Amino acid sequence: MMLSEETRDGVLILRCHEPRIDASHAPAFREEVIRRIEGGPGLVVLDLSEVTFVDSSGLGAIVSCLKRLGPRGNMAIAGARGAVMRLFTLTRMDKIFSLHDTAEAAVARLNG
Amino acid sequence: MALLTLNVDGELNQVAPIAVAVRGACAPFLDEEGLDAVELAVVEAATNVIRHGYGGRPGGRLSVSVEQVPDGVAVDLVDHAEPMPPRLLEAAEMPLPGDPDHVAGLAESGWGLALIRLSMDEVSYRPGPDGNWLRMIKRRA
Repeated sequence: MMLSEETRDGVLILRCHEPRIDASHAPAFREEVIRRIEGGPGLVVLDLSEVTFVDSSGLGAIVSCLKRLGPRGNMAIAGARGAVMRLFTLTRMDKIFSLHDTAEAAVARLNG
Repeated sequence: MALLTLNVDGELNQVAPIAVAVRGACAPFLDEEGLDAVELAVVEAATNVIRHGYGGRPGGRLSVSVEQVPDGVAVDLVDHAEPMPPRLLEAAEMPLPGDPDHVAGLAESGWGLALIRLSMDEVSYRPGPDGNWLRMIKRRA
């Protein structure tokens, strides 16, 4: 169990407690996110504030989860910093995901 | 003299320990951003060898060493897997991000080699009968 969840203003907040989302964790991470978003409101904040490292496999898993939400859903990222933020910028995935300092800001954006 | 030499099984669960050890060996020579870049490049390179070179089969080995070079560090990765096609790494470009309004078409992979190249200052790859040798150099900012 690497995630905990909370619903706020109709948005599902998933907080990742695994500090590294790399090739060895990405499949389990993806499965757990998808299990938690199935049947949910379709608006999801992925809170990465406890995550210190994500590699391209982890990023692929995050993109895969976004795709699973479908055209009516949306996912925003909260708490990405340092190496994690740098990965989003380098891969230009900051053009795909909206990135926010806090889960509260990300929730507000998804409801805006 | 090498600052670090490791020889490990080519298994995905070895990648994080390798990356943490390499980061530690490089710590006296680079700032945090430089260390983040080296860590990412090492993870991407090692994962690539394990996934694509060894094709996920057990029994492969991976050697990693770190040495000081003028103004920075060199990280060497040696494997005995199927080599990468020539110039694949040296020519790797970051793929376009895709269209945020059509998420179904977004790619879920394809960033690894470009991340290695963008993270390091110099990357060279030499396949050979005694192993495939990847050298990645990171200089002090």
